[in-house]
Amino acid sequence: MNASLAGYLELAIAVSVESLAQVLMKIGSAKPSSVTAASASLPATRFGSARRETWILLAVAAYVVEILFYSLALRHLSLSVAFPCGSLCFVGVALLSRYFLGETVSRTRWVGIAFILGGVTLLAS
Amino acid sequence: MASSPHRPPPGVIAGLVLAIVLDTVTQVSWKMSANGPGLLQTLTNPWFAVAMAALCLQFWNWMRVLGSADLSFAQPITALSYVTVLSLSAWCFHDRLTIRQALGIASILVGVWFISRTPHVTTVSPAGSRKP
Repeated sequence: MNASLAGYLELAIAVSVESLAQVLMKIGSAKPSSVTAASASLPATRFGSARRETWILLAVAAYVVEILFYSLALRHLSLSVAFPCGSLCFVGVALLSRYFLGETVSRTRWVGIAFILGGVTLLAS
Repeated sequence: MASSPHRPPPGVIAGLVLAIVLDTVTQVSWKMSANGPGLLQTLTNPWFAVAMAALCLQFWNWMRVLGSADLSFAQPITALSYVTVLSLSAWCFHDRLTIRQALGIASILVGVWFISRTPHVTTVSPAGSRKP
């Protein structure tokens, strides 16, 4: 496996884990559910009785793993490559929010994310 | 029919602004602390303490924001910190922004504007179907 490929794989893992960490934070931030199911309580109603602290600890652990893999990736990749690829976590978060948290990710949000990705790519060049 | 919330409450807006400010402070002071050759120089630099303090505040603030807004709404908004960090660096070190970077900033601003046009929370109607 050449160094560049290893770097991309490590970066892919870092981005995936960071998206997961953000979702774990979101679940851990959920207020106790009220009678009317507002968005903030969706994770709480889905993931039941696990304590908030558990989710937050898992999120911190995920961030630690992400920092590790991102550091590994930076040995093989330049920052001008790693930085825009890192912004792919916006896509990861949107997907996980849609399919895991039940949030509505409309076309408008996807358009916004596309502009952000394009902007970050331009910034890194 | 329930109305979809299009304008986030002031608390959410304030939380997002604070998140961007803290994110910017964290990144810039972290970078300023990393001016020594070794890890020890970075860890003992006073700017590192500033970065870590901002990081702790950010954790507390972000939890509050996420309690009141969709993750897929709040997280892209924080892309604005790319703009603030770059602008601050350019101002501090008297760098000129290239045309590409200016276009990148504009693109991010457009993207964040699109995100802000979506409701900040996903609401569930009494019938059980999700509304945007």
